[in-house]
Amino acid sequence: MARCVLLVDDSRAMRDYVSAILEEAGGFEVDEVGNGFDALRALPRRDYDLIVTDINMPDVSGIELARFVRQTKRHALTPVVAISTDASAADRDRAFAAGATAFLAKPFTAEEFLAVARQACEGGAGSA
Amino acid sequence: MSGSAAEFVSEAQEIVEAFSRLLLDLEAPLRRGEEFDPDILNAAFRAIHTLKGLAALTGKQEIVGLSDSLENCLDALRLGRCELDQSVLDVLFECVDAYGQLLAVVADPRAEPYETGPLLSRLSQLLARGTQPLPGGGTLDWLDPTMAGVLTEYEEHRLRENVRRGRGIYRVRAKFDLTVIDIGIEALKTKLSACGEVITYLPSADAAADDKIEMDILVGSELSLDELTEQLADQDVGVAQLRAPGVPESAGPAPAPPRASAPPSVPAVSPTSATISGMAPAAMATPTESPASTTMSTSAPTPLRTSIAASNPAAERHDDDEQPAPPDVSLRSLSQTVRVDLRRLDVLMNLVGELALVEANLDTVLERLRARDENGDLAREFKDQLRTMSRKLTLLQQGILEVRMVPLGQVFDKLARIVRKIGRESGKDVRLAISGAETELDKRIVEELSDPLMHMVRNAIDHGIESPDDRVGAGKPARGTIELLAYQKGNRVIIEIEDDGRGIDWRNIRDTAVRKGLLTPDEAQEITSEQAINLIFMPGFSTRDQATSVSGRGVGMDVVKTNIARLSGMIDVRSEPGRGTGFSIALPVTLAIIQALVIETAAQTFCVPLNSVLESIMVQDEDIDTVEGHAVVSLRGRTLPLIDLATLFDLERTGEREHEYIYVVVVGLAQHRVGLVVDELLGQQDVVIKPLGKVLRQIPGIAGATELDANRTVLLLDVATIVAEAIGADGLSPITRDDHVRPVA
Repeated sequence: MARCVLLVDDSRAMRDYVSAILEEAGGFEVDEVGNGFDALRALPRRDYDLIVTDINMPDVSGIELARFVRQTKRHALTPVVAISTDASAADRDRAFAAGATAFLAKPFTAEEFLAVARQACEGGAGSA
Repeated sequence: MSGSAAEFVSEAQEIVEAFSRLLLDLEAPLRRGEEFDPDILNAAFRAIHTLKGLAALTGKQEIVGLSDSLENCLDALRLGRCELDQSVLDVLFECVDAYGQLLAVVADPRAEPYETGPLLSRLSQLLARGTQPLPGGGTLDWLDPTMAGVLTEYEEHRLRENVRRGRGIYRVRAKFDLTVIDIGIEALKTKLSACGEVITYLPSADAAADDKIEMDILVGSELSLDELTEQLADQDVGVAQLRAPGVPESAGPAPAPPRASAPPSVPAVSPTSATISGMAPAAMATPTESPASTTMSTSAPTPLRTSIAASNPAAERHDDDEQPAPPDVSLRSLSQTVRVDLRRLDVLMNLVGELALVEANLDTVLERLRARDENGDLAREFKDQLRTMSRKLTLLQQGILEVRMVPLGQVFDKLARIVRKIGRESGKDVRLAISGAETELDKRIVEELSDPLMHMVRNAIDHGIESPDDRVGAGKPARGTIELLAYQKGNRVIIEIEDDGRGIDWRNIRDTAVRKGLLTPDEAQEITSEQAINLIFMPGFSTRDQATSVSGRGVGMDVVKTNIARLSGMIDVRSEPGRGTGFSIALPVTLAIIQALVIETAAQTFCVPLNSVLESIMVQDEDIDTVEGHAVVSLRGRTLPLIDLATLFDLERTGEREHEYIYVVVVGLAQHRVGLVVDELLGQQDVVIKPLGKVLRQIPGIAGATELDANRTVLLLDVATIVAEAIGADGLSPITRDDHVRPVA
C-alpha cells in the first residue's frame, strides 16, 4: 500500500519539486499544504506515514509543527523530516529536540531526499 | 522561450516585484527616521528564499548564486546581525534591477548578459560588516524551556528584540475548532497585531479532541497585562504575562517606539522575579476550564498573575454540549488564485462577443415569429427566454472583462523604483505620491502603458524637477514631488502625472520647433501657448540638444503619444512655467469588445469606437467656416477641423438631405480633436472587432469589421488614421485666423 505523506512548505516550487520526487519514485501518496495552520487541519484527517516540513515558515514553523505532531495521539510516532536551506545549526538542533526524525538541507537531489525519507520511514515506528 | 522557462520568468518576476514593494515599504519609515516593521523584512527574506528554490529547480545558476548571497544578507539583517540603513537598501534595490536583467536573459538568450560579480562582492561586503548579534535581550531563562525549545532562531531574535525594547511578553492562549481555524486565527491575528508584535504561534494538541487545537501565541507588547486583556476582551482567549513591560535597554541603538502611547510605568522586572519564573504552561488558566485542559497539568501551579478574558458563552456551550459531527477538515489553502494565459481569456472574450451577435440575430427571429404566431403565445415565451438569456450574457461578459482587470498599482510600483533610482543618479530629491493604485484596467492595456509612463516619469525628473539648490532658490521645498493619480471616469480611466518642477516655457518650445524646421516662422507667429506646448508630441522633437543618460534613450513624447493612441487613448499636457507640468491620459477600460457609435453616411453604416468619441453635436450650415481650405467649426473657443466621411470614402449622397443641420461626431486622438460629418446617428452598441480581409486592409481609415444584427457586416473606422489625415503631416491643427474666415457658399 502506498505510504501517505503530508508535505508542508510555503513555497509552491518546493512542494512541486518534492512531490514530483515522491511520485516519480512511486509508492507514495502526497498531500500538500502551504502553511502550518493548514497542516494542523490536515493532520487529524488521515494517518500519515511520513511528514515532510519546511522549518522556516511564518506563524507556525516546522519546529513548532514537529512538537505538535509528537503531542498528537494519532501521529506521535510518525517520522518527521525537517527541511531548510538554513545552514543554521541552531534550527536543526531544535528541530531534532522538538521531535523531528531527520533533517535535510536544501538544495538536495532526488536521491538524497528519497534516501532520507525511506530511512525515516523504516527507522521510525510510524509505518508499523 | 519554452513553456517552462516562460512560467519560471513570470513566477520569478512576480516574486521580484513583491520583493521590490517590500523594500519600498522598508525604506519609507527609515527615511522618516522611524522603525520599520520586522515582518516586512522577514517577508523579503522569505521571498528571496522562495526565489532561490525556484531558480535551483529550474537550473538557473546565476539567479541561484545571486539569491544565495542576497538571502544570507537578508538573514543577517532580520536576525539583527547587520543594521538596515540606506546604503544597505541601495544594494538591495540593485539586486532588484539585477534580477530584471538576469530574467531578461532567461526570457531571451539574445539579451545582453548580466555580470553578477560586482554585485555579489558588494553583498559579501555587507555581510562582512556585521556578524555579531546586536547587544541586548539578555538570557531567555525566564521562558518555559518547552516554549523556548521550539523557537526558530529568527523567532528567538524577535523575542529578545522585544525584551530589549522594554515590551512586555505575553502568552495568549486560544482554543480553535479545526474546521474554522483559518477564520479564527485571522481575526485574532488582526487584533493582536494592533497590540504589538506576534512572535510565534505554538500549537498544542488537545488530548481529548481531535478536532480542537490549543494555540499559545507569544506576543510582545508595550501594553500592560490589564490593557492587553482589555483589548482582547471580545476574543475567547486567556492572557498571561511572561515578562512585564519595562524600560528599554540603553545599550545599542534604541530608537523611539513606533507606537505613540508611552509604555505604562511598570517597574522593570528582573528575570529572577517570582512573577515570571518557573513557567509551566498548564498552570495558566485557559478560557474554557474543561477537564481536558486540567489533566495536562504536570507540575504544581506557580503563582501567576493571570487574567482570563470574558469567554464567549456561545462558544462555551458549543464546547461543552455539542459534539460536532466528525470534522471533514478541508485542505483548502488560504490563498486561492489561478494563473491564466491572457490569450485564453482573449478567446473566451471573443466567444462571448460572438454570442452577443447570435443574440441580436435571435431578436430578428423573434420579429418574424411574431408575424406568424397568431395569438402571440409562442412569441411571448420566446421573448421572455431571450430576455433572460440576454441578462445572463451581459453578466458573463462583465465577468470575463473583470477577470482581465488588474490594478494599475502593478505599473506604479515599477515607477516608484524608477523614481528612486533616477532621482539618485541625477542628484535630485524626488518623492512619488501615488493615489488610485487600485484603479483597474485591462491587463493588456496596463502592460502597454508601462513604457510610456516610465518615460514620462523619467522626463519629469530629468527636465521638470530642478536641483535641490535651484528649488530652494525659487522658494520651493528642496524635495520635488511627482504625483501619479488614477481614477475611473465613466468607461475611461484617467491617469494624471504631475510634477512641481520648472514647467515648460512654451516660447522655448516654439523657437526650438522653428529651429528644427518643424514650424515655419509665420506659423510660429500665430501659435497659441497651448498649441506650442503640444508640439512636444511631434516626432523628432526634444527640448534638449544634448540627451542625458536619463531621458536620452531615443524615444520622445511622440512615441508616448503613439503608444497611447494605439490603446485608443488620449493625452493632454498643460504646464505653467515655474509651477510644473501635468499630463492627463484617458484610456478605455478594456479593448477587445468595444462600445461603438453606429452612424450612417451616404446610406452606408459605420461604427466609430466610442472610446474615441468625445461628443456629438449638431451644426447649422452657417456655422461652418473655412480655414486655408479646411472646413472648420468653432467649438467652445476651439477650432475643430471637419471631415466629411462621404467625401473621405468617396461615397455619393443620393436624395435630399433630411435635416437642416448636420451631425458632427467629435473624435479625439492623443491631443487632437476632429469632427466627423455624418448623416445619421443610429445608436450605441457593443461590437467585437474582427480582422479585415485582404482587400479592405488596403483602405486607410478602416480599422476592422464587425457584425451588427442580421449578419450585417459593418466597417469600423480607424480614428487614428482619419485624424492624422485631417491634421496633415505636420501634426498641427489648423490655426484660426479670423480675417481669413469666410462663410461656406
